[in-house]
Amino acid sequence: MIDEWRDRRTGLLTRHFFHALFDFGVFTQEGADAFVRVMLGLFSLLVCLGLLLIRMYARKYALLFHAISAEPYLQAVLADTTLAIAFPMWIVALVTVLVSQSLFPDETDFRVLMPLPIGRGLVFGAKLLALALFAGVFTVTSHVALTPLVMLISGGPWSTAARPLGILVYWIVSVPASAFALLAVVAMNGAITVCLPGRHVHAATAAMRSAMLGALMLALSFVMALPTQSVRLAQHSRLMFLAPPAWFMGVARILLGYDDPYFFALARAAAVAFVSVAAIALGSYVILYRRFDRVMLHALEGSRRDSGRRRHVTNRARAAVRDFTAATLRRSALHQGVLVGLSACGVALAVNSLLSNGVCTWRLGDGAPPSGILSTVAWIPLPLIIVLGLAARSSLALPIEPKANWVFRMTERDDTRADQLHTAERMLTLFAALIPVALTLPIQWTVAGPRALLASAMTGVFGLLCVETLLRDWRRIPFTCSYMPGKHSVQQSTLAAVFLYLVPGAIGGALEMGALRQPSPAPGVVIVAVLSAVAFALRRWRRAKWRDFPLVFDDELPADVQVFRLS
Amino acid sequence: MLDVRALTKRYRGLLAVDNVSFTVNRGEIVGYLGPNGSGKSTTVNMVVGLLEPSAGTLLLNGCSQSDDPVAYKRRIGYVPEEPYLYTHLTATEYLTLVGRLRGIAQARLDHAVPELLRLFLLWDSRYSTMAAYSKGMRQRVLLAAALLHNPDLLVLDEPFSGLDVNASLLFRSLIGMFAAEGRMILFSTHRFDMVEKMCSRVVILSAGRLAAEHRVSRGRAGESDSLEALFVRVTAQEDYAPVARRILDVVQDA
Repeated sequence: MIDEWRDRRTGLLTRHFFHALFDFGVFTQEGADAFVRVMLGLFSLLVCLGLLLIRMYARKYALLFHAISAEPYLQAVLADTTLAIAFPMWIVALVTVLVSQSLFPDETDFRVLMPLPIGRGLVFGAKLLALALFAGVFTVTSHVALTPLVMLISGGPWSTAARPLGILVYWIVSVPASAFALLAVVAMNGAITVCLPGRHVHAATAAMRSAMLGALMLALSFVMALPTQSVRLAQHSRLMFLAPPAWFMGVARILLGYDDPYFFALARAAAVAFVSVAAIALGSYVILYRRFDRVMLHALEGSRRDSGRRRHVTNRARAAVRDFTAATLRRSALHQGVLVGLSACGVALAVNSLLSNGVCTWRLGDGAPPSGILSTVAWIPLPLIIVLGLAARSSLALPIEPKANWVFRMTERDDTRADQLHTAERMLTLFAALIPVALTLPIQWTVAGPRALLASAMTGVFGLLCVETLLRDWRRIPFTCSYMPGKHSVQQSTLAAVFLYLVPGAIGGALEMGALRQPSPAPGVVIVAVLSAVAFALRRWRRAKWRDFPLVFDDELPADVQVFRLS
Repeated sequence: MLDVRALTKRYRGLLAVDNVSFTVNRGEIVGYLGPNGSGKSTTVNMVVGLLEPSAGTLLLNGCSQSDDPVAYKRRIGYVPEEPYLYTHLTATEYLTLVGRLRGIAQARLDHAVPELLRLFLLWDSRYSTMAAYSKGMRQRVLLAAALLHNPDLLVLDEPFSGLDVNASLLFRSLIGMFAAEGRMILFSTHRFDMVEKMCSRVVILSAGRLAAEHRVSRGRAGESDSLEALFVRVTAQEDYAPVARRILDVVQDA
């Protein structure tokens, strides 16, 4: 009877924690439900992606099966197995990072649950169970999506093992590989929580979350490039020890009966890494279980610097919003995560283009760069401008404590409004113009020499035009308005994204290509001058509008998001 | 003087505040009472300029809220009912933010903010973000922020909730002195004891309408009804003893 009651409480608490993993704190209950529906849609998309991969790989393997020797097949299967292990690892790591604020019971759990007649063990157990279920859903979905691909590559005339055995070994190895990804994220968060003084934990975990999100986005380019690493794997390159999925591929080869010291070394690395992260994760859970109050009631430390004080402040309204924005981005894991995560997506896109077009393997002194390389370095500023600009705008648009915005509403004045909005302009200029210039100028200089200066000037002007596009309807103090995901219909969003990505990308890329190629800089200079004048005029128009129209504030979070009407 | 004339607020056909008029004179603390849902918070939100009235006028020392909302709001300090704050900021950061938004010179802020933190007993927690503050501490930050620009009118919406005895005594003394200097205080609360101790006059709201205006000093001297009796009478509150009995019966049966 007592056991049954305990089971019911465990189930109830686990369900509560499981639902909380989908709550990012910016949605209402209805919004969170809609978010779950979107997540379910993404699961189906994942399965479709797996089927799409089959179509892509079917032709490649048809050729390999009919090759005159087994060598090409054996090389390709190594790299593709590594990809099939890496992809679920990446997905599980990503979702774990996204919910990393809920990896351990927090202060709210402590305050709400501890007065109730339930033990600490039940709270921790339910939390772990919910996390395992959450990760399990993504692990199983991604493996189901990739099993057809594994089925394809583990069969055929050159295969050394039966197809069912190949699939079984894949699941036996790849599921622990995904568990390794989960444990690695838990271990890093746990180590920080346990090792740092309580007052620094909040800021440190937020920074760690953003760093991991950024690293994962950048890693996606390398995950996608794994199929091109077949030669490196076949030649037993030491470089592959830097890629955790390759360790688990080593385990898979050992289980399939390959007696190769290279695979044994990779498998050893997998075992050591798995045991290490599991020990750290388990250890941090045990320590936190014993010192529950440490994580629950840690003092939330702010800045010990006298922010703004003793600094010469020329414009009070600007300084107020600037310091508010800086403090929010420094301390809010959500805002920092959106900014860093989306920005890293843009950088990953650029890195992927550079990798896939051989810019990294082309060396200076090899003569004039091929046009493929030139067009790649001419094109990469555009995705950087668009994605980094969107990242900055999205992070500023997400609310924090929406009901606290009354202080801005009570102090709004026509004469200071433009100054209060200046921070948004400055941040977007930094992300959409200055950072893309700083990131691409060295690469363009390496490939095209001094002509890169003109191309960079174009990058800067495109960035400023992007800032004007993104700030067209902007009339909000950062973080003070409600946020509704999926405000526009799917068709509208898709069209806008395609337009934003392709049209300015194609035109901008062509213009920068011209600047990098043309012997005479005159046409490029004229284009930069004209576009600068346009950007300047748009800026003046926008600033005049900022003076005339009141700020936008929303007190309440939206009651519901507009769901994707796919049916 | 705060002059509220025929203030009305409609929400999609629902009349939340109906033709409410009252004044707050210089040096006066006016209590603002009403049961839950009577339109008290709506009125306060209109008085501080967070809500646009559907009809009526608000004049503060002759300055109209509708004609010059910026000048009007500049003279008001406000402590909201719930401590809505940016809790990821420290108290220093929050007060600096409010001060700068109010246009206070940096030199004055550099002097006033640390002093206020010391006087409101928040100095030891100055490096902690307000997420770690108790409700009473947040209330103290809000009062400091409301006083920072030395307003003419202080609008207090349940300012004593969450405060300990010492902080309540400090608040009472502070509010009394503030009024004695010729400033105005509109004090919205559910606590009769506080109103009777602090206010010279009380305005009672019921179902969005002005139900009574009452000079507290007369009540104190026993010349008329006690405030509680008057409130129950004019707001048509039911006798709660049977309800309390029924609640106890329900929990005892469960």
